[in-house]
Amino acid sequence: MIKLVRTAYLIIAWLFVFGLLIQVFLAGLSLFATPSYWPTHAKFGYWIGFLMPFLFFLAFLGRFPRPTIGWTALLSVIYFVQTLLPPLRSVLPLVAALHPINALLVFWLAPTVARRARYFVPPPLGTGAAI
Amino acid sequence: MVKWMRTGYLISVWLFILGVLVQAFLAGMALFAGSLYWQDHTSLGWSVAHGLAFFPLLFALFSRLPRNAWGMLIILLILAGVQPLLPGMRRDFPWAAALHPVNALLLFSIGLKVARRARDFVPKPLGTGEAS
Repeated sequence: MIKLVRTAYLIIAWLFVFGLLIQVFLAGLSLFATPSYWPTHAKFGYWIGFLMPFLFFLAFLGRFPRPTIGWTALLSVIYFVQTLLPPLRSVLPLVAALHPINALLVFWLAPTVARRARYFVPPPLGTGAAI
Repeated sequence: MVKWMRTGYLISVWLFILGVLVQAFLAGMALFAGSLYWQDHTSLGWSVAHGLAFFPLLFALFSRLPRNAWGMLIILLILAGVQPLLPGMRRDFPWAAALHPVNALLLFSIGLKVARRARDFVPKPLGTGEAS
């Protein structure tokens, strides 16, 4: 059971990383192809955000060590903040402008979380010992 | 001499990462505060990509780095060289131009990897390596 949960955690963590790449590509399309991609960027951002509470839940259910749960929580919080920043543009444009910087942080943290998870998943997907 | 070059290498990589962060903030300002900031983003972008990225290469050449430290640095330099060229493709290849922010993510992540690796070659307190 734990093996399955941990494998699911690993897969979802990498799905999130892949989703981030698509999300940023959509922002690029909005900027350089047509602005009509902005709503898709916004919607897709909320959709991949739904993976976060799921990942956090799996971290507990999979009995990951505390640091892994902590990193997952941090990623969830930073990503939640990410979705709150653009609506601040009319009130606090300086704070809203942190949206791309926060994206860099999310993209640094997400693969870190996914790579750490590999240690707790047996081969072939992970590098950990069989549970 | 090598010690100083390696310290310069470490500092210049971190300056490059700082440049990427400032660039991301300027892009955010252009998007959320005023489009005039695109000019700053563009002009600073050339300096970061072709100016700041040149210094890690220069220091690395005189740092006698092990071969395995060069791989990530070369990838970083290639991506940095490509980065300011991408927006210019917006008319003919908009999907390629759209890779500009994706490439920024890679520059930041790979830059951090290169910086962490660089610490191994620099003695304390800046790095984690043994005194040379």
